[in-house]
Amino acid sequence: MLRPLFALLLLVPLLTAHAENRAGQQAGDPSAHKPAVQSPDKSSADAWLARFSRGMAELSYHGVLTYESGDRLEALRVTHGRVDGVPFERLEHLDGDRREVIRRGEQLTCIYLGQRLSRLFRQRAAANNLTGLAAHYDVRMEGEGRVAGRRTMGISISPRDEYRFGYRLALDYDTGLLLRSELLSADGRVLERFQFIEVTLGPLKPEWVATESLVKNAAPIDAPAIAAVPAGWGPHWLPAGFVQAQTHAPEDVKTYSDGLAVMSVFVEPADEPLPSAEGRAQQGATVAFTKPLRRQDRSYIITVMGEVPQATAAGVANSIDWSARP
Amino acid sequence: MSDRLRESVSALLDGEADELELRRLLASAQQDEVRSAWRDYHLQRDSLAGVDMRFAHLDISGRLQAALADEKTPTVSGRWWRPLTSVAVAASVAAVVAVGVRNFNTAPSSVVPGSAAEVAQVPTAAPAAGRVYPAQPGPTLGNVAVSAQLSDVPALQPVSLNPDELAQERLQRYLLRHTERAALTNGQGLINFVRVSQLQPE
Repeated sequence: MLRPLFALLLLVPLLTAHAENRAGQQAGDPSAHKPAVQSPDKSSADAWLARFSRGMAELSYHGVLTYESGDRLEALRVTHGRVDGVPFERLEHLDGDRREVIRRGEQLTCIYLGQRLSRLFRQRAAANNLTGLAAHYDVRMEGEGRVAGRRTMGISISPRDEYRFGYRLALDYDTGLLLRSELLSADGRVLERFQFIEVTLGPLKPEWVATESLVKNAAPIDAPAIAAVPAGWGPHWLPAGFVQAQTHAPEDVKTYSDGLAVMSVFVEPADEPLPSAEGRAQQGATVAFTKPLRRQDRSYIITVMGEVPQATAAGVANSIDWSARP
Repeated sequence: MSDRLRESVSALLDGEADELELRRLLASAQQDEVRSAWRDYHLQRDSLAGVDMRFAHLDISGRLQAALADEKTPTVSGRWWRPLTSVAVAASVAAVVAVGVRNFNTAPSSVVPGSAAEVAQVPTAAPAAGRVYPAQPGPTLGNVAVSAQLSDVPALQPVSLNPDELAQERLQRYLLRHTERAALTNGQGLINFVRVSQLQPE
């Protein structure tokens, strides 16, 4: 869903360079933040992605969006911007059980039914494999449209192989904000869709960011304990362009990305007897492929989870062992 | 067999059955009667519609069941994580149908359009979510109509599985961590958490 949006943040250096090459100094000019005045480059898909990813980090907005996946439809309120110079984000579910996710700087808090789970949300320099994006996706402009009462530019991002999904985006014409995002299967079905119904761009109001009492009143719960797993495991096979996204993490999980799609591999020691062989599951656009693996008289459960086709998850899961050099 | 079950069979035939009715039918202890009613209703309807009945005596459901019984059971089910229909199931169903059609073709009186190979390609379609629409037989009881009907069989399979709560819990726990890491990987992105429908602390 919005994953492309965040993935694209990584593209900033690359795409900015592109835009500068193609459009001269204008697109790279820091004063181009006033789009109406400066009329930034709107002539190429790359330039649109550059504006969009640059805008996503900087824009301040508040709005209501819907998330659709299969027969699931949810409404959410989103707030994004800075509070006292610190990045602030808030995501509130408007339907069903009360749940919220709040980030202030590095502090991430998930609130669910009056309980809170706190996490550190540390920004890290991501592995920069994104120069290869064009090798794996075809990015095109799809013409103008209208979403949430605003003029948009459509961008289609089609995979060049069967190992990843495609995306169809609608970006706000004036600011580059992502107003609609669709994840597409190989046969063109929409696997999930996020879409703003209404959005306000501009400074955040105090009531939108007043979360202290909400967090304080929720009962703290501990993060799950993580089972010890011998180091050195990894996949023998990954689709072209996927590289490990973070290396500092605990040894039971590794995350890989091609810049747009993300998948995580989990390894967990299993009690005997092992649960029955392979399992495949799906929730919205997220698939999971599970299989058992024996190593030195111990059993493990391998799970690959991500917004990728089943075949990709299965291929990666089947290539996991302790001698791999991805 | 109760009137209620009979009504559910009829509703399923008309594409009007909801998931609850389907579950009731599948869970019914009177499977033989349900199947027989299902078959009878089809025959009645086809007969009324003037459909060619030459192949109505053929019943390959037994062999289909045997093929499905040999399939491995997926480990995951339940409310949030939906097990996927195995391609292997669809393939084995296709094989059974192909065999059935070959038998058709060797019968002296049968004139069946199409070939077994055509039929074998049909049943890999993904199951539709929500309401269950059984395939409607075509104007003739040819091989294509038969295969389309059979292609619904794997789609119905997960309904009868017992949910594996442990696997559900594990996947939900992984989803939270995958989402966090995806958001971190991509610079920022709380909105990714839309995908996490509930927390699963241990």
